[in-house]
Amino acid sequence: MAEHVSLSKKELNSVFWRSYQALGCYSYDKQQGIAYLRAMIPVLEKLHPERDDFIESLRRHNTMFNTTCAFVPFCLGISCAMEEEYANDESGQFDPESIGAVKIALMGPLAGIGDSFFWGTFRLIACGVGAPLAAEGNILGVILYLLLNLVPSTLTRWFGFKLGYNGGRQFLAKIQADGTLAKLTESAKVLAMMVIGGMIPQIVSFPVSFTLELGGGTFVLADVLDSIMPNLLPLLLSLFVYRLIMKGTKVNTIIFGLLGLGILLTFLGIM
Amino acid sequence: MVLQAFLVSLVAAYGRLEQGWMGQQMIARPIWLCPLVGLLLGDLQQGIIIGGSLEMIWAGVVQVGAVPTEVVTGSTVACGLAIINNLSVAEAITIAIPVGLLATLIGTINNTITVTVWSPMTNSAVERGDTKAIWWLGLAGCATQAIMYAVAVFLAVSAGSAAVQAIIDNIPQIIRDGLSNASGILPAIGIAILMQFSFDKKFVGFFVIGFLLPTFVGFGSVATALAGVAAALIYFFLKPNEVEDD
Repeated sequence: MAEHVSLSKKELNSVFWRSYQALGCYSYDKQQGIAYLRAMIPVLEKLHPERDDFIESLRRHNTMFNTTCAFVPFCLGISCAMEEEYANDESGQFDPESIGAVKIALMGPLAGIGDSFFWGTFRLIACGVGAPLAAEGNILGVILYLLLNLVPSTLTRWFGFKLGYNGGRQFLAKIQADGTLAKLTESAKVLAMMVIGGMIPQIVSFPVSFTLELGGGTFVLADVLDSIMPNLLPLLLSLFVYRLIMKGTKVNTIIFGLLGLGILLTFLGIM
Repeated sequence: MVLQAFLVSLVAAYGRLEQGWMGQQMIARPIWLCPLVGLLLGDLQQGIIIGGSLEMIWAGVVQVGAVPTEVVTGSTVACGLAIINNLSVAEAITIAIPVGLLATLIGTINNTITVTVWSPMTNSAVERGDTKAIWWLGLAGCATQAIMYAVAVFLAVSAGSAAVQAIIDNIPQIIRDGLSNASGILPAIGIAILMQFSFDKKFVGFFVIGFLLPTFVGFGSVATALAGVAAALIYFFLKPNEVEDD
């Protein structure tokens, strides 16, 4: 290992593009592991010209890995930097096992943050904004949905990869230690809570058609409910379903339950 | 009919490949796939409407942990059948739900193939240092699943059309009205699953504000989301950092 090998833009770009296939071969045993190994190959080939070293490096990455897709480039960036450090280590101090250890240490917390941001916040906002518009036949709803997902995801991938390669471990440790990461996650929650609250009146509809002739006047149930608070039933129903889910009721059971409820209430003339 | 079924199956395969080969950027969803089906079948408008409606019901169905419903096949089959047979949105939703449930089987079958075939093949490719094989293997699992989706969707749409029409014609009106009403309350499930992700007692006030803005102030979806961004910014900048103690 006398000569210094450094990674060029060519290999790094190639790893970045391969990060898109993170779910290309999802398996129970390795989850995204096969795809991670596949993505690392251009860098491993460059750094380990000796066949035995190369095969050893392939083995190192042929392991279980799983995190939110948008954070895969960040992890790959870190792995690339560590492999480069290892390949140029002349002191024999660098333990290659640490490369795998860092991957394993990162994937859990990153999946936690990533799922709450990408599944729980960006997609949710995109859905809250786009779906009601699309349901009315407005193509703007579809376009907004795409943009609200693709823009944050693409930026996270691109800058995440760069950041991961250029000292991402230290950065993550820093924002975790000074509390910025926790605050960021909580702010996302604030946003998500507000969007979810706002989705209820817009996407849940509980049409009440029950009326009763009383002496001279007509009792209209829908008007009475509206005078208490508009959208009261959608709100109560959503909270009720949330409670069911928290108690462990299967989603499919609830789907069929609500279908049955709709038919029953229609049959009784309430809906 | 065969051509139409083929076109719908292409969208289903694309949906799976988006997740597997194109980074799962959360767009293999009804709101994007149904307009594509609509475009290919010549009724973009209906595709957008069905996509938006299905998205509301399946808002909470996400690919984290056990997948209760497979949205790619569910939405493409339902949207395809609805446009070909001129069905209502409520009827499309009624088709989508069982299809989505049934199609989760394909994922289970495919994951079994991956763990018994592709994963061991990768291990031996690693020992040989065969990078070309790994290149292909890294794409294989998703490819087989996309093919299975396409075949299933093709069969469902081409064979299903006549059957669906016959079934829909024989459903009593009261049940059809009931299903239509039910399609209004089903999105409550989506909301509830989303709450599972983000609900936090100490932020319940933001949830209430979010509910009140469209209800009493008439805010639309974009305005509510922007108000949410404002709330998040206020929270972020006013809350002092809590430094972790080591």
